[in-house]
Amino acid sequence: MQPISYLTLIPFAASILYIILLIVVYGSRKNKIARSYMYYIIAMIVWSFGSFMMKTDIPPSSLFWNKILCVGLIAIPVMFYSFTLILTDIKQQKWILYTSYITAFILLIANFLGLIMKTASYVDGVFLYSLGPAAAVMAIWSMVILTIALFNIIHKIKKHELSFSRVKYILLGLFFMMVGGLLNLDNRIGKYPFDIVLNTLNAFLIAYAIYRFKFLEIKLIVKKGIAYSLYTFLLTGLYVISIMILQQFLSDKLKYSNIISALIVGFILAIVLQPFYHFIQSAIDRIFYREKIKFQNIVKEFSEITNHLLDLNQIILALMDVIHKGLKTKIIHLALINDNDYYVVYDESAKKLNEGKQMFNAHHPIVKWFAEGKTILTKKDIEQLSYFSSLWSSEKKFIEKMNAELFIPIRFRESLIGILILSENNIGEVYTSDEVDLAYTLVNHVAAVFDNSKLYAQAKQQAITDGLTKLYNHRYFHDQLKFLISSTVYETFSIAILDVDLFKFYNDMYGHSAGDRALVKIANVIKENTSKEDVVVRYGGEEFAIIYPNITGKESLEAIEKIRQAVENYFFTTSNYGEFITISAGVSNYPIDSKDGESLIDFADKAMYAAKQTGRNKAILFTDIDEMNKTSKQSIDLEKLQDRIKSAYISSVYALAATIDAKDHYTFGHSENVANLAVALAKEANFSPAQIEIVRSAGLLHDIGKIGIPENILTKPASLTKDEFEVMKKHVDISITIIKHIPNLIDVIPAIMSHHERYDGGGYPLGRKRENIPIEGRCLCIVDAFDAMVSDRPYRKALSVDIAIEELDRNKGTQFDPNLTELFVKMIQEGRVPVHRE
Amino acid sequence: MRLKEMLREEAYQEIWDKYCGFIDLSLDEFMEIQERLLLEQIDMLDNCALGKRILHNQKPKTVEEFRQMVPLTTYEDYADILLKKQEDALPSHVMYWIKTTWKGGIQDEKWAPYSDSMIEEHAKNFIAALILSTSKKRYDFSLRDHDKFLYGMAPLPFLTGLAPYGLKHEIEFDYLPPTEEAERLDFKERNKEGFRIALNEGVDLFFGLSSVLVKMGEEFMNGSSNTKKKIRPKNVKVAFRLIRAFYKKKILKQPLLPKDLFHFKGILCGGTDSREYKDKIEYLFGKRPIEIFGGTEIATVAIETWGGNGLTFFPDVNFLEFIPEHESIISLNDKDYVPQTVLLNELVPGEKYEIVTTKFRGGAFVRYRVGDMIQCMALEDTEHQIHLPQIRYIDRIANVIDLAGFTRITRSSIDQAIEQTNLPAIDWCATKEFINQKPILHLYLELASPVDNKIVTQSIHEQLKLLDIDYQNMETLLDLFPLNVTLLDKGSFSQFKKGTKQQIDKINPAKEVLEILLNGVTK
Repeated sequence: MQPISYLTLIPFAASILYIILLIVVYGSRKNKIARSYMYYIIAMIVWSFGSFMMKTDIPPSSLFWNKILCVGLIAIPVMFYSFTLILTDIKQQKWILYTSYITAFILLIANFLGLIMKTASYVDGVFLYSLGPAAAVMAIWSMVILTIALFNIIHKIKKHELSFSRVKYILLGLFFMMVGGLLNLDNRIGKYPFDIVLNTLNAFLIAYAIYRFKFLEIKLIVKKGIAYSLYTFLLTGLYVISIMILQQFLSDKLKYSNIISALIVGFILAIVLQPFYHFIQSAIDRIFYREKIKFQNIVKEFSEITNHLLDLNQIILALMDVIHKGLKTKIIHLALINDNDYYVVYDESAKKLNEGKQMFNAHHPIVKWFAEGKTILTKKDIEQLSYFSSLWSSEKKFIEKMNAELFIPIRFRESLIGILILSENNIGEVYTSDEVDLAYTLVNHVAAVFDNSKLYAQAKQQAITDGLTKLYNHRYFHDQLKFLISSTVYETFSIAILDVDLFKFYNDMYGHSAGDRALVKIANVIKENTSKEDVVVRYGGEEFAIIYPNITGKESLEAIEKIRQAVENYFFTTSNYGEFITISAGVSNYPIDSKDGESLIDFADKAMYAAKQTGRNKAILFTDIDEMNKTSKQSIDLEKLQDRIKSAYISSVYALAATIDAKDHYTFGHSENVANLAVALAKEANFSPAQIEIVRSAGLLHDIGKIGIPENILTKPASLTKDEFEVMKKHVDISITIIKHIPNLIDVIPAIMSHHERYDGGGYPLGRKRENIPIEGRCLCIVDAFDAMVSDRPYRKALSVDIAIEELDRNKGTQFDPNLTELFVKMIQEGRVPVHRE
Repeated sequence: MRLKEMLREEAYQEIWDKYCGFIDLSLDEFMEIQERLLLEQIDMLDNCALGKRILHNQKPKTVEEFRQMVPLTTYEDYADILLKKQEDALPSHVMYWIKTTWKGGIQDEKWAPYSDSMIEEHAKNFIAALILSTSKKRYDFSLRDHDKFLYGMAPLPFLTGLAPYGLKHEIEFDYLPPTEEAERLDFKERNKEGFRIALNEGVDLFFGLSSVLVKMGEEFMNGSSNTKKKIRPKNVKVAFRLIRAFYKKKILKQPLLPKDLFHFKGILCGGTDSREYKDKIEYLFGKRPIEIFGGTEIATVAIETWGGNGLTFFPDVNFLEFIPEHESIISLNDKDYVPQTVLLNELVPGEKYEIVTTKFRGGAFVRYRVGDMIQCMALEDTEHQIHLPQIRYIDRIANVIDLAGFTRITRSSIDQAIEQTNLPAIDWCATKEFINQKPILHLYLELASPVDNKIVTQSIHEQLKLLDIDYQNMETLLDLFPLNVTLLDKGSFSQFKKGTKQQIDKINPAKEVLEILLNGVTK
């Protein structure tokens, strides 16, 4: 038996390594490629073990072990070739494979007949051998087979059926193996185990390729096993080799050799090699857990970054960045939930959420899959699971277009808030489970941050949003105005102030909640008639403001006119008779009117007031006010023209009123009586001149809506039935519908609308109470009832004035305003008001 | 990843999930897929002339609206567009036009368009069928790349010819005979040649009409197959089987069966009477076939699983509706009657239904009455953990007699045949019956004057052969004489009508009707 030396240790170490590899592959998921690799490793084990036994000269003989070695050596090229056939998916070379099997069999026979190795033995510690005639044949045969394998791989790479990156390690290993084989041809080199070293390298390169490119999946436990085995193996190897060298040195140079020297050497080595333990440990960790360590750092860095961020866009960008870095992903898509239904897409190139684009709706199979609590989804899952057979062709194409490889749900408190979609990585490989874990960890970390930023964004949004109309608020308007002026983003822009006409009346008539609803409607109409670039705000109360970027005053006036028209159309065409809302607007322009924000607002305000003063429901440009002042004559003419139009309207309306009176001869002159009595009472109650004008007009027009009531009801000589009374009640609404189309008569609407309201709330149409009924309406109510009582009616004769006064008194505080009633009764009793009787 | 790559990686579980995973769907999941794909189809129909016409220019938003708003259709509703192959009127681009015969139609043939996604789906489901044909239980199947495939079906433009084209991107089979050669041969030659190669090279898979497989098996058993003489084994396995067969026949003197020479991994059978042939096929070939149900207009609809307890529908081929049998019969007799349909989750075990389909993936047919009857066997197959309704194919609807998947006999074809014979026929009715597990047309005929039954039968048979090439093929290909005539006493029909005040269904009348007619029959 020969002493242990590096010549014996190397094949021994190689055998151990091969056995470890075999165990690893055996413990992994077996498929064709793994199985063929296993056969190749077994051949390597036979070869290296044979070599070890031969070099230790263990009985029966070196020659015997050499023949075993040759069995491995013959099997290696055949097994490797078979492995590459599976790797390259070549089916047409079965005959070559079978031929190689047969020739290998023949070579095996030749081997045992001594035709390959004639003699092999140790003579005085020197290994001597002589090759047989078949040795060269075997070498050439091996090279031919390996060359075919090499050619197959290169051919497939050229045809782009196999990627070079996937097989580069296998090619390198093949190169080592061929070099190792060729070196054996020279006796001087062949006696050293270069071939075994190179073949061991080859085996490792294949193993790495298999692991790296998922030719087989190595189980975690096996992976740990390899890591520890390799660690122990390297350490032991280092220790044994060092002891051998030192011991050799001690015995050769110092001629000192006994057990004590071995102990001393061991002790010294233990101290000297201590730092190497850690080095080897960390080197192995780097090999097997390199990615894990890298990923841990990435997660740590990412949490540090995101902990300081609140802005959603910035957080998303940070996530994209870390994923690009960590996973080398080509394209990342992010879909975030919006209004519980649609998932909007993050546009990586624009660096913002693209609200207009929807990726999935709540019924999309991918969303439903994640909603069921499932974790990761791969492209393969989508292709393979029947669950996804409900995908539309367009949805499949969309997924394909995204180049989606991996879908990761983003969950916060059990609910799905988004989906991260990763394409393949830069080298076109499948993500490792560590990479998937990293993405999942990052996404779960970011989910809470997303939620925080969402809350922050909501709070931020709330601070600049009007709670009622959901438009921007006064503050935002000023910020934007300031920004536009300071940044000079636009050379020109206009601002418009819009005010709802007679909104106080509207509120008085319909109550504040109806007023709020009207404001929301107006806000919606404005939104519909403005573009995304326009800044629309509720400036306050019933005032709105708009910033029109990049357009002059004239153009913005046209835009405002469009809104004014839209508001008018919306409310005038509404089915509710009572709606009578219009807006007046003023427009100023930057920089023509002013370069100062406050002044621009003032000027727009002035223009808006000018619109109000000149008849409401119109839009005026600030520069036009000056024009109007300069050409006062024109403005007078304009006023005259407007007056003429108004009087023409009023004449028609009075004519209509007269028609009503004529329709019902019992009420002939009723409107005029009511107007006169109302004016008298208004004066008695110290109404303002404007209010007196209102009650006069309202008195004349209060029953105009009766034009729409069937004559048989109007003139029925008996009490009205319940249904007939319901029809009769509609005359109030019809009155409003007629009047709201007449410019400058809008002021009378509240009085007319409320002249049938009762002080106790039992009247119609709105059932308003006490002071909630406009005072003009309460005034009309008393005089209308009085004139009706003292007039003949189809169903009764006229009552006397005294009885009428008694009736007013009796209903004071229930039907009529008590104060006004008292004033009116007093006036009648004192004879200060002429009472017209039929 | 394609099937061949998955097979190379031995990813058998993934393969099963991808192709056969539908059998693991719950009924709710199945219905959800149906609903979603129907909405896609409505969307596509809404964008084409044919769709707008069928949908009456309305766009249903839900399954319920769809069933209320869209009428049931037959091929006549599509004939003007499809027979002219007007692609621009269809919901999707056509990759293949597939042909079938149209017995009793305005033309001899019907054409159906197939889009690329329909072909993809069809291929996927056909692979599922092949996998299931080779499986013994879940995840356990033996289908492999380069399996030898005896493909006994008609080539393109028939639907059965579409599968090889759809499959070639997924998996490579060694077709027996090779596809190009098969397309040059006629049906009989193709089958013969296929079996001949199979004897020499071995065979793994069969897809064809059950009747053909039985016929080939019987010929083999009776020694009438001329293929046996040319056996030249191409591999060791086949040679071994031949030696074993020789030993069995010559030494043991036992009868030789096809299963002694063929070793099928899977047999996939189609055709109306597959159910009747299964035992025979299993006896002859040593492998129980599984049944696939489909058709030109409806593609692959359902497949039998390894358990043999029934067929399971594919969820993503057609939107499925079912007309209960009694409704179907009423509507056949009263053209104005609108039968009600039920959905898959409303089937009742034991009940029979006429199937109504709406093709997914850009197909043309909407609420289409293809004319097939199925029976719901059970709402699920608990034994094999399939929680979807299990059905079996019954036959064509009542007014058609389908014989062995070869031909479809209608009232008009029998009328014509009798007329051509110049026999003094008064009235007739016909049913489909089975003799020795083989389907035949049984004609009950009343003549004005007596004629010998043999003459009557032969002359009608000859006329049917002239009128219907498929009927003729039953004799030439299967050696079947598929006609049996019973001559009724003079006055049988008029007496029946007088006595019962009922009309007799010409095709497939009720058993009770036949019993009354047969009373006093002179044979």
